[in-house]
Amino acid sequence: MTVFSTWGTDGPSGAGAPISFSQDMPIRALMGWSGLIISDESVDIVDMTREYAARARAESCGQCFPCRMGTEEMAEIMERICDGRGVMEDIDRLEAVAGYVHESSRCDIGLTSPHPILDAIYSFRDRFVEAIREAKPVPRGEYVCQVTAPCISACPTRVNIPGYVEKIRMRHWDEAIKIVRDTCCMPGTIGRVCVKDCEFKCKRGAIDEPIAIRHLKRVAADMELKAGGASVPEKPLKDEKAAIVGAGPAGLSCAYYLGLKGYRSTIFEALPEPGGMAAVGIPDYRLPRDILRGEAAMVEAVGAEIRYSVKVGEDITIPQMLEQGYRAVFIAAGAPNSSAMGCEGEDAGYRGYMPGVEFLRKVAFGEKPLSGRKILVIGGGNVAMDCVRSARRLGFTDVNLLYRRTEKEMPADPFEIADSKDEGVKFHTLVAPVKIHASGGRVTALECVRMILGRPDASGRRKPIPEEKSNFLMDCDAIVPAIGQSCEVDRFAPEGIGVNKNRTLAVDPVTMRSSVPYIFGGGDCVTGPSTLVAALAAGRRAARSIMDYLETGDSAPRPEDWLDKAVSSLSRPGHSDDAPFAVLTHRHHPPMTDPETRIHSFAEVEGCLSPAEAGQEAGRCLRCYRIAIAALR
Amino acid sequence: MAEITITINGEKVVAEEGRTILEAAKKAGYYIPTLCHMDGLKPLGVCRICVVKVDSASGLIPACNTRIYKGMRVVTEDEDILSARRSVLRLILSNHPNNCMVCEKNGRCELETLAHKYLPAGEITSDWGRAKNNYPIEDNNPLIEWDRNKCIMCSRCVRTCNEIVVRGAIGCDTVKGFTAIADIPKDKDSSLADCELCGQCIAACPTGALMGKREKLCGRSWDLKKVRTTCPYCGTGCNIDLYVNPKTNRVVKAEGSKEGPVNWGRTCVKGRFGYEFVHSTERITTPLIKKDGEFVPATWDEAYDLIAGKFKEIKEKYGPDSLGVFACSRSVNEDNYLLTKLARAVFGTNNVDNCARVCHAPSVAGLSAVFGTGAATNSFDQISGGDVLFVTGSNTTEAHPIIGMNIKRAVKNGAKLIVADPRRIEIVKHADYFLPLRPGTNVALFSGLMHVIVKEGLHDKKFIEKRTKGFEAFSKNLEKFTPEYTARITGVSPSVIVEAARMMGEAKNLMIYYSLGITEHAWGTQGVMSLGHLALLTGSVGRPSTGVNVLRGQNNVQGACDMGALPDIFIGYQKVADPAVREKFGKAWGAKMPETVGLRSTDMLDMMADKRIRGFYILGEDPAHTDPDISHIRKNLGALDFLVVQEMFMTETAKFAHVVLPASSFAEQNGTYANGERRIQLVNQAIPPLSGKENWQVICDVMERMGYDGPKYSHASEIFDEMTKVAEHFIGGCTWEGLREKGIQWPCPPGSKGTATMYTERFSPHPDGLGIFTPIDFKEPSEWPDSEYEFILSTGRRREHYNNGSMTRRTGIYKVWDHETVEMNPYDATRLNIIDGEKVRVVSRRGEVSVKAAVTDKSPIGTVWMSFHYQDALTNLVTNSTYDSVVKCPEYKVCAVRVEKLG
Repeated sequence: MTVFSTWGTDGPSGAGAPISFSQDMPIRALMGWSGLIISDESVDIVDMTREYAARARAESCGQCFPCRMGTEEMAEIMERICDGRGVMEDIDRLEAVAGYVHESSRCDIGLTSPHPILDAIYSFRDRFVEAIREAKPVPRGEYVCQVTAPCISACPTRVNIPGYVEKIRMRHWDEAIKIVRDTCCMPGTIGRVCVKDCEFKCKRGAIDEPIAIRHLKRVAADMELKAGGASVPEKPLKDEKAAIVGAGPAGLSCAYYLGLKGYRSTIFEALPEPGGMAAVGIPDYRLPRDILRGEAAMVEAVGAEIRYSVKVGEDITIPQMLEQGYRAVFIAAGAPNSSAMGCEGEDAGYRGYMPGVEFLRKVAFGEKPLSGRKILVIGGGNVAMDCVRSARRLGFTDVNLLYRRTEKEMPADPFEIADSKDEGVKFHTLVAPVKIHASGGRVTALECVRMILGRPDASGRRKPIPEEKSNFLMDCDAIVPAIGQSCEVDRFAPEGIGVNKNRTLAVDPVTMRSSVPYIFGGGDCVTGPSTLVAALAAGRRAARSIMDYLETGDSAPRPEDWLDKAVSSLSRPGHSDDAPFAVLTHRHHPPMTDPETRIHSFAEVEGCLSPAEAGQEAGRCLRCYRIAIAALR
Repeated sequence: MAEITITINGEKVVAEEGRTILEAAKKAGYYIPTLCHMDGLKPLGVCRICVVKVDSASGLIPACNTRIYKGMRVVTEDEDILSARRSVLRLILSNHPNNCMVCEKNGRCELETLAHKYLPAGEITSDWGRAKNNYPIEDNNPLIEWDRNKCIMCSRCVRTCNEIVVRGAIGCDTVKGFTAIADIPKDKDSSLADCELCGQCIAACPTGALMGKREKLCGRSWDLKKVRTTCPYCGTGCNIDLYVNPKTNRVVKAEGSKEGPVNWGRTCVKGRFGYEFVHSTERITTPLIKKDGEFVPATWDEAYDLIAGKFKEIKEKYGPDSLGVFACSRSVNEDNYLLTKLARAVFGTNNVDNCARVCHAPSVAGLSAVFGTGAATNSFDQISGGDVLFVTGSNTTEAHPIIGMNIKRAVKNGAKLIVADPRRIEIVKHADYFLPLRPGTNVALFSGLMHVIVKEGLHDKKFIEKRTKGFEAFSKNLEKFTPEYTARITGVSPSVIVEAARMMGEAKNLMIYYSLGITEHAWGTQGVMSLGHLALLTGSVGRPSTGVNVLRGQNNVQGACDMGALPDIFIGYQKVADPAVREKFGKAWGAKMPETVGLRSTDMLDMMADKRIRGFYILGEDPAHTDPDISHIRKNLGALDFLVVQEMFMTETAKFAHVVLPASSFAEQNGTYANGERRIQLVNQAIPPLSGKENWQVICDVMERMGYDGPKYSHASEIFDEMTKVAEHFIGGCTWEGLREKGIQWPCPPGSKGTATMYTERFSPHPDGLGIFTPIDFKEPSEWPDSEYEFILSTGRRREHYNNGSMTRRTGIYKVWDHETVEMNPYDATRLNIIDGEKVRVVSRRGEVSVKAAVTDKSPIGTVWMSFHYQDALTNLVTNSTYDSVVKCPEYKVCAVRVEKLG
């Protein structure tokens, strides 16, 4: 229950958004960039203001004068009051300084951090007066703090984006990459193929174009490679070790963060190659295998062992792992199976028919699994795009993509769609497959039906409905469905473990722990097919819980998890979201191999911005940092 | 840029689109205070003192980094704005020391000015109860004192060091928040460890946090007299402001002149701190006559009588061609012009030359052969527009620091850089391609690059067809310079040659920069021509931000050549061989002009030994220090019947003189210099000449004593006026006053405003107006290492010194490099068991010199390197006097030596 809120308002009314935190969240009060929310009246607002001012001071980067000196002034005044040394003029001075910092600072730290402080003075002035009058030290409470930004909150790994972007602006490449690795251990990979939710939330995007956050990460990673690769910190090794199922992004991430703390781990991987779906699902022209191998090698260097071509459930079972001394198991087996299309003939074993996942896997191992002139790929996601673009490179001259909704609804990255079109892929929308026609055991054509869009379905997208009597035939030499993937965790997980309806592993969303105390899970095998960056985040979160479990025998959410959850639920309304006076700028686009050339090989298409261009691009960042603290029960 | 209308304080103002509010307001005459903003730096918008109100925003907006838009309404001052300005000043002053009384910046401090302007009197000195910082004063830098307590964190010094100097000696990233302060960059252990002492941070500092150590207590700022003049060091031609304390008549400080058209306020270590020699106690201030081997002070009359008598005697006895004049590339044009007159009209000989002979004579010859004129084709400020820069044979960041900074900044802003140099010099760090060629193989490398450009069809066919001739034979000759063949000669890998050539071939604007690494070879003229060909081949000449740009070594070496201090030409490159020209000058100067082309300085020096040259006049040159194989030079100078040296200091050469006349320094002179981009700029007198006479007065006196009845001048400007009349096609459009603001780039015939970019229409000095391709073959240097002399010795310059060092060794800069070293690769050093700093002997077939070894991988294996700035370690005892085949420039850059351990 919220008893008081100024969230999203500019005044002392207490009539802010009535944000309430769910019962299981032990938050008594929250001070943040857009106001003050109190659920428990007994919280000491004076002490909390002191804490907030101290945090603001600590986060001020020191570049613009009002914030650098003003946050110092605010923190000092609050410290004085809470030490019992305050004088009455301090309140007015605090108000004046906070007002000045609020109106004159350059970035969101200075612009927003006075907000809750001013709210506190306006609404609870009597308590400040009382604290000064009593002239006694105010007891210090305990708080958790989070420094975030719209881009940071959008990223599952919570990587400090403005932080590394600023280091790139200063050309401190090593520091930039270090900041990325703090929470995201595969910068070269993610810097190439991330779905970049951050860029969609970038405030720069509201003014002109979002910062090239993903690409900047890649530049930093490339610069590190150029400089001779990363160095691995020395650390004492611990006795406990963990087993990890799957060397995909989630597994590698978990092993990396375990390794950083000295915990050894062994990764059991079914493929002869690290990277999981990133290796065999993402073609080389987007993500060169060397990059992935290099980053896996980095994971090994921090203390993980990868055993290739080991099928968990067949070559080794989870109980056997325990016998071998592994005290915890992280399941990150991915979702390597293709979903069925529900189309006649798809199980008939025709030559020329191959599910997208399998097709990409074979291509990844250098095979040419399909041949001919004309190919049909069904689906509208990134996997479908990978399939059409790979097919183009395998020599198919007539490459077609079929999708049952319109291009607007395609889940694939718009850049991928554009790149596919540049490479000559033909798009057929509002079309769904009905039946595969074959002759002599070989596909010859696909019977399709035209679709129309009906009302929005559960996903919010308009539901496609078949148009009657609109069936037609499309001749082809090959058919590749790419409409989804699935997994079957129950195939090797111990009996009795909690499994979801779609055969994914059921885990606690914060601790990643399953119903079996020593088994943790993350990545696609928990969420169903999802993003690479989500898998990296899950791996890291699991690593933290596994370490808790190895040290204490238990793993539970930490206070900062609650704050993170609360912050994620807060949108940030208010005037400072629009910034009409920032200078209009243009995003730098990396060089791309032209379509004529690139369709002839699997060489990487996207080039790298030069250091100078990267520096300029980084200079576009608005540094929308903001601070939240919470008083917990 | 389109013009748009905005409203400032209710008044309609027209301004260029894309400008900031600050720029528009300033132009319209509205004052907006600034602290973190500085012209030349990107606006940062951190101090927030420049806040203004804009109609469509609720808060206060910084004026320095907000661009204007059509119809924008701006208020530059009201109560809210003043209140915000007061707030920030109060916050700054809350921990700023109040000891203005003892601060050197007092009176010029921007914080002080703003505090007095905006705060009520009582508030300026009252603090908010916070303790002042107590940082120790950093004073381990030889020239700069750093008091961080006065730092207000505007980061102007940091940005200057990173954006303008591109050096990064100061950073501000070690801490954050309130304690953030300008600091040394991470991983450097001492303050200003990487500092190149350019002093620009001092100029950038709005308060007294950064100060020049040697400028302290030299007078309060408002008492000093400022005189804008041109720097007396390298050929960049920076404008500097000299500050003179009128009470002592001493130059107490130099700063970059903000209006200087070359440097816009920027300076290097020499321009900023290199003025102290002016007041050196070692200055020669009276004439000296050598009696029994000792110099004895004499009156001007005694000296003049002796000089006139001796020269007349030699002329009568042995003919005018037994006399010669060595003009001065470091003194003003007016002096050089008069010296050519002294030689031609008074002595009656064309035996006049200047030290371009030993540096850039190949440039004059080589560029003339290709383009028609022997000078840089473009302007320094066009560097920012080049997309590919090719720097070769130039240690730009050391020898021409301001140009080096411009190049580094262009690269930082996205330009590509290719460097070809035997040594891993500083600028290589910024290069996209580094071509470490073997010394002396320039022509082969350039031919190899052009081979690739032609082979891949990247040459500018249209340009070649329309504006050049000789391409066919030329390209045929290129055929053998395949990347592999070139690689065998130069040692540069074939793939790098190919890639660099492609980058050049594909460049929109290729700018070529070179210096003595190209000219000072036996095959130097050919090297210069090859670079000219490269420009023709890629169509990179005749447009802004292209061209072949020679970096001239001395402040007025361009001018000395322009003035005709060369044996075959008169002022403005008018040929001695042309009877009409001779007649014109005969009339103008009132004497018959000698017909035969004179001797080059290197020839004259050679001919002293066999008495074909008997009398010699030298102004400010020091061949006994700077010419190669000086044992030989010494013998020759010693054989002269009569030598007059006009000098500031007792140099190696002056020691051989029979009469030494005092010379005035740049600070004592009026006159003009021409810099490396052909810009003629004023040199303005800051203090009266220490000897009582400017150089031109002395030269006129000598001419008069010899019986010449020339015009009587009362000021150097009158000499300049005469010059514009006798070289009308060249500088006829110049006036003395017209030079005051930005100088003039020649050619400037009457009615012209000067020429920033040459050859935009045609290569006009060539009769057909076409650029000329000439096939060139590669030739090996004349002396190559062998078993006895196993190293190549190459020589060059250091940033902190200049030429023979007679000036820089008498300033505070001297401490930075106070001794000569020989740089050698660690591999060679280990092999010879030599450790860094150990004293060694460098021996060639001609001589030897003992210096300390500096072990560094800047030098490639097999090559050692020395400068030549030190009188106590004369590098030129060792160097080779083999000459360039065309113009007799010596091969300073390659000779064979061995390095011996001492003891």
